[in-house]
Amino acid sequence: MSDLQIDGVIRGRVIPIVLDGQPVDAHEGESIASAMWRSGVRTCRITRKTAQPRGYYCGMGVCFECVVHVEGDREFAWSAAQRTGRIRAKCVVLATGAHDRPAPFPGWTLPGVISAGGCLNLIKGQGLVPGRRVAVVGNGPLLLVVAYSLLKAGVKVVAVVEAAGTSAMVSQAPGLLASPSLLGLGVKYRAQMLRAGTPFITRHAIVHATGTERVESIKLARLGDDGRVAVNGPVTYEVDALVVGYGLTPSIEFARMMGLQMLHDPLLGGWVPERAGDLQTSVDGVYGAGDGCGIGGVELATLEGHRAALSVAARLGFNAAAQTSVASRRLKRLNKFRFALSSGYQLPEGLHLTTPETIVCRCENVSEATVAAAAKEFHGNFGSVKLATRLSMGSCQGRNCLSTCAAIVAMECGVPSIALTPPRMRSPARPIPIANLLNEALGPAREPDVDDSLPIKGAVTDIERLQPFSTGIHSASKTG
Amino acid sequence: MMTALYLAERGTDVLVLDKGTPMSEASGVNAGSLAAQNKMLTMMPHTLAALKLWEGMAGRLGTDVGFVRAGGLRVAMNDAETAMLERSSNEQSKIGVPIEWLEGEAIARVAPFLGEQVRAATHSSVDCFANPLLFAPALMRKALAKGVRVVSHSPVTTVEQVGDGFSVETGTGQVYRCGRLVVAAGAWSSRIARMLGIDAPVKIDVNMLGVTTPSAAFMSGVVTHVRGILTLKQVANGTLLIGGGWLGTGTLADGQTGIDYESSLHNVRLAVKVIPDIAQRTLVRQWSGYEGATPDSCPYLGIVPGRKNAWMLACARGGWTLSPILSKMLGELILDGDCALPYRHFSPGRFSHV
Repeated sequence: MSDLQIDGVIRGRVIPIVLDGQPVDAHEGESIASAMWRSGVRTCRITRKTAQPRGYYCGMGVCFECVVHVEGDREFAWSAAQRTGRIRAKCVVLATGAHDRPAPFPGWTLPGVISAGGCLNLIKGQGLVPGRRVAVVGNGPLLLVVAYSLLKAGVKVVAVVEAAGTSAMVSQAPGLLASPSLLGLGVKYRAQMLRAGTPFITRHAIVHATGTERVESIKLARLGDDGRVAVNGPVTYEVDALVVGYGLTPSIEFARMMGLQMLHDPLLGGWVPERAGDLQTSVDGVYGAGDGCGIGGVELATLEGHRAALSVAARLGFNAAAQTSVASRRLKRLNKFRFALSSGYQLPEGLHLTTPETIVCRCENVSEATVAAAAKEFHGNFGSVKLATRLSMGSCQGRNCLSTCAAIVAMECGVPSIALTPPRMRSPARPIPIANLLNEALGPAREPDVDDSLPIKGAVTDIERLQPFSTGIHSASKTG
Repeated sequence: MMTALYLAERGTDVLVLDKGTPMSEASGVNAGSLAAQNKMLTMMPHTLAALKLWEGMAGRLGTDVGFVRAGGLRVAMNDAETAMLERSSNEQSKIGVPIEWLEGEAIARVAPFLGEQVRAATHSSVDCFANPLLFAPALMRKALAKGVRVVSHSPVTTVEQVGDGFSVETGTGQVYRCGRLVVAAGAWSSRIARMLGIDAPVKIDVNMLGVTTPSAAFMSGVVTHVRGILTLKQVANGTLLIGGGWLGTGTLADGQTGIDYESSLHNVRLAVKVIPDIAQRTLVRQWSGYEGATPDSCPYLGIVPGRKNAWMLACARGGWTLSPILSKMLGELILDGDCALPYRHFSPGRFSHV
């Protein structure tokens, strides 16, 4: 027992905690600062610039000298089709994957125009083909996978239209040789297209898709140096489905919600969480693996998952050194291939396939012109543009439109789009059926009717309950 | 901004200094309820006058603000709450709020969407709601059109008396001179009041809201709870707003409000108890924002004691509902020296023990 304790004070039950590796007994209801003081610890933090020790001073949340880092388990609430629950964990590996990067163009909302990911899900997941005469347009290696899968399923692929030219890809040859097996896959896909007589058109993009009830024809044109398509001299194809795949974008909802340090790298697909060599993010105990941390494909994602698992194992005290060095070496090689491939496909000028009338936010039917006008009116304040136009406020919560809208706002205001502050990411990460929130497993069914201790503000209707209260602000300064 | 508009409408030259961008805090993220039944008795004359002004808001601003006068229900779920509702609604009736008492069969007839656990409810035809997302930009445009100048990203750092007027410096280093000054900085008003030598304590709440996917109309009006812990309404686009002032996370200092999972869970469960059909819907997004409140929940409205040309209007509970009338009152005090509705008990200095 500490000699600083005042006799006769009743303390709560003992809760063992660990202070920088040393076990300390804390009491239920006492502050961490008190537990530290009682056990003789006076230094709470070391100042960053001058490396001086600092400790408990004001004792009321004003000076922040006693701030310490508390490691606790992280908790997630989850919901599946039938079940819900909450889970606590010492470490978390975010493996959130990626989704198709939206690339709006006139007619992209027509039924029959589907994403590359959606097409692969139809074929692999449901055993369906999207149509019988299909064009595949976009940018990146996924187009070849899609075209190959369609051809294998007996679909007539009228054209594969790639926005990038061939010269950049050729210049990346050394890096691509880092993974002969993946390079071989690409060759196999192209060979299948050659056998089927499918034209592979580079430096072209889509002008528009037209049709009455569904997509019936598409127009293509050469992509200019400004990232726009020439409207004159277009190529037309009759199709009954169009697959569009202008690359993938990492799914970063959880990363943003957890406040991870993010970085923007076009070669990784845009905004991704920062990671160290052991795949730990900026938050202690939170790791990231796979496409959600940078587009790299299934091989790389599998390897990163393995590497992140080894980091967690090492943290939990298992000896994983040998496996770790093997995995790190393989990861390095595959990373080389990843950066070569995305460099080869990169469009330095970006893509501008929209017209002012094009719907950019599908949920709320917001056109490019509307976003541009709001961007002007609100001087590029993204939050105000969102509230005024309702962009990203529908079911998709911006997954489908935020990057496009950010680009429009940025262009309108002459700033780089990565300089814009995106709207806050909030729970739920995906829309959740309210019935799922009624599950007892999510938390005790403490209702305000039976438990007044819940943090709700005093009912403003009942004048008798309104008592003066003290505030931190109130006590701060008195004049006279 | 409402005060600025009123003053500009009466020919005053107005400059607004905003620490961020206008309407980005409470006025832009609140639930849009314009209810009388969930207001304090002391504020009822002001609330009823405000609701009258809201009815003419679309005309005043020249555009739709999503105003719907669909009436409102206030519910009680147990014996204690029913007694509370009875007492409160009697008092409200006495001072002129049209109230209809509903129990048993009557509930099923008037509001079939209410659940079986609702023991009693009162209905008032004066309750209504509007859409902050339509109102905020419309107000801004109107104010600009009336000659109000708005300077964004300009937090006030110092205020100094210069003769009968003031010199105001902002974080951008700009200095503005004015003859008259109004402090209307919402949750941040306390800091500026102190620059004028008074202690105007403000308690900070972080209120949470949730919204569902749209569906066909299945309820009408705004539903509130006798204990002030729930607001529900289905708005024009079919989405359902779930609020009630359940507290989220964050402080004014960290500038980041957040969702408290436990509280939001109970908020949603209470909503389902009151309207069971809500369980069939999907929650799309939750958000949160600051609400600044005074110790007695009444606004700071009036001249700053000891100052000749400084006024204050801030931190009324139900500030969104009350804004048209409170801004008009302050405008009248500034320009005419008096106003029709009672205001003396709103003095900004009433908690300043100078």
